[in-house]
Parts: sequence; structure tokens; C-alpha cells
Amino acid sequence: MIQLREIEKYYGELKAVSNLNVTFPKGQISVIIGPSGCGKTTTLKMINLMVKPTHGKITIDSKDINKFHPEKLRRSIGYVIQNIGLFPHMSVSNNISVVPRLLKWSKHKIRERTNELLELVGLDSKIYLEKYPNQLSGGEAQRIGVARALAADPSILLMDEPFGAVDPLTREILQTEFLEIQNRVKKTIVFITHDLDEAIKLADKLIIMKDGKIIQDDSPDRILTEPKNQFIRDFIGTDRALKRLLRLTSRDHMHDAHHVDENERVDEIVSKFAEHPFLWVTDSRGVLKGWINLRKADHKKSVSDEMTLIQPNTLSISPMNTLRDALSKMIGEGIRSIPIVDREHRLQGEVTLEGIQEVVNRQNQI
Amino acid sequence: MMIHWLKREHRFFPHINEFIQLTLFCLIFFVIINDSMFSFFLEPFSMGRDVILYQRANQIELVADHCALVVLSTVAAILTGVGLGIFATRKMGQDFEPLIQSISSLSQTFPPVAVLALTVPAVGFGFTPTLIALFLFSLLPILNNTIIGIRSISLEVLEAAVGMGMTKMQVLFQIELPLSARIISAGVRTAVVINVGTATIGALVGAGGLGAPILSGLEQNNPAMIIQGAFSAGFIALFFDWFFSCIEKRFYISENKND
Ligand SMILES: Nc1ncnc2c1ncn2[C@@H]1O[C@H](COP(=O)(O)OP(=O)(O)OP(=O)(O)O)[C@@H](O)[C@H]1O
Ligand SMILES: [Mg+2]
Repeated sequence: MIQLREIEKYYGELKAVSNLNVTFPKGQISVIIGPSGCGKTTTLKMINLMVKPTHGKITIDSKDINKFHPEKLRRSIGYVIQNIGLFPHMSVSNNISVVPRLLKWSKHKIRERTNELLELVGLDSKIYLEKYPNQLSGGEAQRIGVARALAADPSILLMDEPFGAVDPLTREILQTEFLEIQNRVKKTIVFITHDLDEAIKLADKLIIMKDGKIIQDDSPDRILTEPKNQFIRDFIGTDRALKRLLRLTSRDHMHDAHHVDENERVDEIVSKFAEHPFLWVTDSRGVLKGWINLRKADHKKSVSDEMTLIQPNTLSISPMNTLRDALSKMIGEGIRSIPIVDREHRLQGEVTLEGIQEVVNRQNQI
Repeated sequence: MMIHWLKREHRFFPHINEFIQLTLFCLIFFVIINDSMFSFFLEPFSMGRDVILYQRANQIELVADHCALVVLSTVAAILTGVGLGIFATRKMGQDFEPLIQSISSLSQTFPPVAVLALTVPAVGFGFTPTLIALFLFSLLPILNNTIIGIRSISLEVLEAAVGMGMTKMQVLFQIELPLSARIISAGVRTAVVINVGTATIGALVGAGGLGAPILSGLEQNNPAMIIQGAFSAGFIALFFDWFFSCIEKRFYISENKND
């Protein structure tokens, strides 16, 4: 747990932040959001002693951070800096292993950890270990930046716009993966972003700042339902209902999907699914192959002859995707339900338009 | 065909080009330090005189003296220049940067002959005043490039280094120096090449080196001797230039890591 008490920071005459009182709870993602120049980075850098507060006290697990040796403290806190800042003269593997090397881990342990981390951030170690930062795409570089911060398995992670430099699609993938990782590793994370959707999707606790001050500090749901003042209302915009869908994952709101094996014959199943003529088609391992409309299918043929193929990763989403992702994909494709598949593309269930409608209705009643 | 063969060979012996170049340099070097062989080549320029080469010292001595002047002065300039450059880019040295810069550029605006004229009364004739002149002369490019190299490192990279928990020394040796090594080495290369040429004026104050045959050749109106000194000095300059270009290639280059 990180606590900031009465923090104030002046750069000369300029008051960068003031009257900061905030707690970043253990094992949770706290997201700081606010307009450019409102003091987000300054707040973050005070936690690892890169900026010294003019006033106030910061504690980590109730211990004053000034009691720590600055270098030692920083080695124990993962830090993803704004604009990534990979070391251009070091290979990917050396970039990732900077902190373990500072901590003098054994070569063997470092090599193992590097491979493990690359896998964690979804990059093939055979391909990437020996690359250099200028040979990476923006998204790959950001993954390496995150891997570097995680290298020595710190319990605290400071992330300054870690997914800022990528296109919306890649960002969404990175966010989803990030949540999956966090579900496993449970770090205390302070996360800065400019992107409200990202903030709402990731935050356990959302902190909205303006002109160096905290305006509201609460769970995203509370902020969306009870914005404190006009600034917050303007900030979160009018599509609050849609924004709340960002908090809900497909995994928690999917239904069982009606599906058939591709090897069945149409006439053998048509009576069984009279109520549900629209079916997903899987192979014997449960991998999603396509869909079929029994009303329009030729009864003499097999399902695999009559189905419409779905390319992997097109008309499907992962269990970690939000209901908003599901909704926007359905609207985009003009369909009323969307299949949920796991990493191996096995069918897990489906999310339907009616289902989302129900969720929204239920929320509005509370 | 030849190029094709070389390219293919590259995979197994990546430095083959450099190896061939080095062999060539050694061959010519062998000719230059061998008095009888060198005089054979210079014979046509002697205009019928009996004396072809400089008599008071043999080529080995001349080349050795010359290289000693260049190497010693450059090593001193690297230590001082890089040291001052690092100091000027630290927080505590920031205030000194303008002073350091102006002193070093002042030392370069003095012509080397003038430096010689000023140092001779202080330290006497011979090797030392030349060494001082060369040292002062090569300081500026090295110091300048050190400061430019370190200053050109992006703020993000430095912030990341500090944020990862590197100490000031670790930031210097693991980040700043490796990232500016190429620029510093380019400064050293410039300094050395200038020094090889400038060292010939050392002969004016009796420092020896390849300036001696040039001076004698001018006095005696003997082109062979002038060529003896000038060609050797030119060759050494080329060699150093080549040598440092090989070193530079080993360092991090900001544009492209593929070559
Ligand atoms: N080292 C510094 N010296 C002087 N002023 C600074 C320094 N760092 C930041 N500031 C100022 O402090 C204020 C807050 O900066 P900070 O970097 O914390 O903003 P931010 O919220 O991270 O903005 P952004 O979203 O653009 O990254 C800004 O007005 C900035 O100009
Ligand atoms: Mg910032």
C-alpha cells in the first residue's frame, strides 16, 4: 500500500501538485487520469524518489520512503516511463534484464526470467531476444517496456502511459493482456493514462486530477454513477451507460452457446434445434469453425458443407474483452450475438444483444 | 564475381574486408620502415643525387618518434578531454561548461607554431614542447564530441536508467559512455589525423619525427627526402583514420543496427 499525505511539489514558482492525499491499495490497479500538465507524472515520480516533494510524506507499507536508499527503492519498484525509453544500444534481452543485472542475479536465472517475461508479454523469445529497440514496432517496444519493469518481480509497478504510443486496436489487446497478467500477479499498480476508456476498463480505483489537485478519487463505477461536480461530468461525457460496459467482461456475462459438431448431418440435428435454427459450428475439439442457419441449409448435406466459415480472430472475442467490445463488434458486423473463444479458439459461450440490454436494465435499477 | 565471393564469405568470416585492408597496410608499412627498400622506390625523385634518404636517422626511428608524439599527445588528450567532458555534463560541473569550452576552443585558435614558440622558452627544445602543442590541439575535438555525445542522449533513456535504479556511475558507464562512444571516437579520429600532420612541425624545434626529412629535403632541395617524410606521414594518417573507423563501427550507431 502506498500512501501520499499532504504532498506538494513546486518547480521554482510553478506549483505542479498540491494537497495530494491519496492511497494506492495493495494488489490493485489505481489509475490516474487528467488533462496534460495536471501533475500525473510528477505524482508518479515522487513515489520512486525521482522527484522530491516540497512538502508532505509518502509511505510504502507504512514506511517513509525517505528511509530507503533511492537506488535500492527504485530497483524494487517496476517503472514504465512515459515514451518507453528502451536503451537503444542494448538488445531486447539486455533491456529486460537491466534490473536483475543490477541486482546481480546469476546468468542462468536471468536467462530463464527473460524468456519467461517475453512469453508473459506475448512475444516469441526466439525472435525477439536478440533484436534491438529500433527494430521493434511501437506495440512491441511497449511490451518490452512492461517486461523490463516486471523483470525483478517487484510488488509495485508505476506505469506512465504504458500503452500511449499504439493504435487503438493494439492498445485494446495490450490492455486485455495486461488485465490477464494482473489477475495472475496481483501487483500494486499506479497507472497513468490520457484515455478515459482505458482508465475505466483497467481501474480498481480511479483518480481524476486537474491543475495539480485530485478532483475525485473513487471506484470507476461510483465516479460514473455519482460524478462529484460539473468538471467530472464533462470529463466522463454523456455516454456513461456505454462507459459502464467497459467494466464488465464477456466472461462474466456470457451464456452457453448453441453449437453443433461440423461432422453432423443437417437432417439429424434439425429437429433437435428447431427452436434455435442459428448455430455455431465447432470441430471435434470444440474449436469454432463457423456458423450455420438450419432454416436455409440443405438437409441432405453435412454441417461442414453448409456452414459459413469464420476466420480465427475476426468474428469472435476473448473472455477478457469487455461488453463494450462485444457490443461495438456486434453493431459493426450487424449481428445479434457474438461467440466467445479462448486462446486456442475453442468456443466458450456467446454474448447477445438481448443479454447486454438486460445487464444495462439491471444496472439502471440499482 | 569477386564481390559475390566476398559477400558469401562474410557469414563465416565477418571481418574479411578489414583483414585484407590490414594486410595491405602492413605491406606498405614494411616498405616504409625498410630503408633500402624505401630508397629504391624514392630513387627516381632524387634528381641524380647520391643522397636519397635522410641521413641522421633511419626510417624506423623517424616513424617511431612520430608515432610516439602522436600517440602520447592523443592519449593525454583523450584522458583530459573525455574527463573534462564528463565533468562538464555532470550536475556539479554544469557551471564550468562555458569556461571549459572557451578554454579548449582558445587552444585550438592558436596556430601550433605559435604554441611551439611559446612553450619552447618554458620547457626547452625537443620532444616536450611539441607534445604540449599537439595535446592542446587535439583537446578540442575530443572534448567537444564528448559533450555533444553525452548531451545528445535522449531524456527518456536517462530517466529510464535512473528509474531502473542505476547509480550515477552505472548510468555513466552503462548508458552515457556506450551511447556516446561513437561520437567520441569520431572526435579522437579527427584529432589523431590532424596530429599526424601537425607533428611534422615538431622538427622545427628538434623533436625528431617525419618532419625532419621534410625540413632537410627543403633545405637541400631534395624532393626524395621531402617525399620520404610526407609520404610516411600521410600513410600513418591514413592508417590511424582506417583504424579508428574500424573501432567506430563496433560502437552503437543511432540509425541502424543491421550492418
Ligand atoms: N523538471 C521540471 N521542471 C520544471 N517544471 C516541470 C518539471 N517537470 C514537470 N514540470 C511542470 O509541472 C507540471 C506537471 O507536469 P507533469 O509532467 O507531472 O504533467 P503530466 O500530468 O504528466 O502531463 P502529461 O499528461 O502531458 O504527461 C507541468 O506544468 C510541467 O510543465
Ligand atoms: Mg506525464
